Amino acid sequence: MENMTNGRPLLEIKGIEVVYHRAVTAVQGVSINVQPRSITALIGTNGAGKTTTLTAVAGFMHADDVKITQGEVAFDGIPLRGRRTDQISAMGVGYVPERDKIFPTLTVEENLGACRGRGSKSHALSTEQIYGLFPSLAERRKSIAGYLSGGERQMLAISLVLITGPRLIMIDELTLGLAPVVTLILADVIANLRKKYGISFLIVEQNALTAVDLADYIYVMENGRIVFDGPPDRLRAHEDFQEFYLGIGAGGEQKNYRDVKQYRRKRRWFG
Amino acid sequence: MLLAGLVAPMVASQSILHLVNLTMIAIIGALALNLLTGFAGQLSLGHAAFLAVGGYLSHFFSTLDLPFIVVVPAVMVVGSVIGFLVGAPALRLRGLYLVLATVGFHYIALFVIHVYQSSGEKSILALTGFLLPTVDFGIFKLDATFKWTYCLGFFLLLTTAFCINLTRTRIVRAWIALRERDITAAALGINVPLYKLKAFVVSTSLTCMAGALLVYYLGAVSSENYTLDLAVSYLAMVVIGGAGSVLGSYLGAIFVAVMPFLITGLFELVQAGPRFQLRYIVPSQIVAFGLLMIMFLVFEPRGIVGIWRRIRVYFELWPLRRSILSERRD
Repeated sequence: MENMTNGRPLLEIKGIEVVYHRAVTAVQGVSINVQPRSITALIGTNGAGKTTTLTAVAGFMHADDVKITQGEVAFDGIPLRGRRTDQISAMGVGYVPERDKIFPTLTVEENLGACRGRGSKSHALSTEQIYGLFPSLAERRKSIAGYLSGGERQMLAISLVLITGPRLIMIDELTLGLAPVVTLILADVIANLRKKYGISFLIVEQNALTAVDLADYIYVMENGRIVFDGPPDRLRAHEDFQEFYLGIGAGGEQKNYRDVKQYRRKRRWFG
Repeated sequence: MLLAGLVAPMVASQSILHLVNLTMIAIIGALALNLLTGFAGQLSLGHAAFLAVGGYLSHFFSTLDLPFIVVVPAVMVVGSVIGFLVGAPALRLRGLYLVLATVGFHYIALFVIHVYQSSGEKSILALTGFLLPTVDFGIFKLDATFKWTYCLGFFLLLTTAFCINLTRTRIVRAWIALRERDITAAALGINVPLYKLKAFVVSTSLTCMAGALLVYYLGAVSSENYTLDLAVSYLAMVVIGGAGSVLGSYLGAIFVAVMPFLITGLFELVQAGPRFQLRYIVPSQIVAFGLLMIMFLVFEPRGIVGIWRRIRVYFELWPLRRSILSERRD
């Protein structure tokens, strides 16, 4: 069931286990492959371990007491375990965290300036290319980033990563708290970036519908484990996925939230 | 104006020149602290200790019969090494923990200096401090206050030019990023420990230079002058002037240096008797200082430079003032 369609994956997470404070296991035996020029989505409920998986790839961002105790993470064949966050960024792995993703007291322009010339410079987009992707940021280039709307913040956060020239961008909660129209714009930009610059994406999503529409391959995570993976069509057809994530009953009718919740209590993935 | 600035030191009174000289040294010190605390966001109460290190290093080098123009760069080099040594263990610390660590450094440095001061030749003079030789450039000596004004003005110009140029480099952009959010900065490829260390090294080196200038100007160095109060007042200069701003360092240092004289002037204005003055001037200076710091923190966190920027923007836009909302076209 692995995502091994064409040759060596760009990002290869192989059976990792992540332990906090030497006691709490957050993620166990998780394997994820991201193919070159692909969009891979990771979905699951709160606390499933999605963010932990992303930070494990990104070098844990200076968090104190957390470790990969088993398994391997490799980017383009080079192991990432034990490397610093900024070194991983320099190798071409961009990361957009869920919160605290921009520098709020600087203007949009200064935000971009602070990141220019970092990371892997060879693939970096210029400021003009970025303003071309996000015209609303160009309009607000002199505004203080802390005053931007949620959508513009997400656009700026993606821009900051783009300016460091990544080959893979990991985005934690792409559309959380954003209006449907902004979600469409972002999905459009991501598809565009993949097509035009060959950038791959690993996206964590709460909204299963967005994930199904956007991604080439989807992993479903629960309780620190991958419980299902496959292309969106196969996932769409899966009964459990319909129940849990799309809220559709066996007969095709929409289920309300309460029913779904009770069903969820009754049964977890594959028992 | 430039001409007036060049001529003024020759005609101004000694006491005013002395105040100007001390203020210029304070500005250099405030610029150095602003790089570390204002730009890179690393709070430090070790500034007095770094000044002391600069002062005592100058004395040490001057006992080796080295001239002033050699001593100052030497102090800066050794200072940057000390900055590296202090910065390295402080890399993992943030906020309050870093402040406490720098306070710890303050006490350790002062203890070492005290030992150094009392273990030299046991004259009564050495117990209270050391004397430094008059600065001699060969062709002329810095033996008058107004000559020092030119010399310090030169150092201030150099430091300011250095700081302004530095703010345009990727180093300061990285400092600002890690001050704002170090985690995000790391995710965007900034080597956070390295840049923190750079901030410590540059700031300490400049601080030691300010310390060297101060002791050469005063002609003596004594460990009693380097109290934690001094470190607090430098931090106050940065906060009151404006953290993360070169102009703010100027405004803050001038404000803190001149304020005691303003309060004395105020007492004279209300024609307070000498006994009343004697009793209340110093306490009221301390209280006013504390109150002002609190007021700036609450009402104007960006310091005097924040007020200055608002005034400038007001006049730039006047009479076409628009609200921010009307600027958006969508």
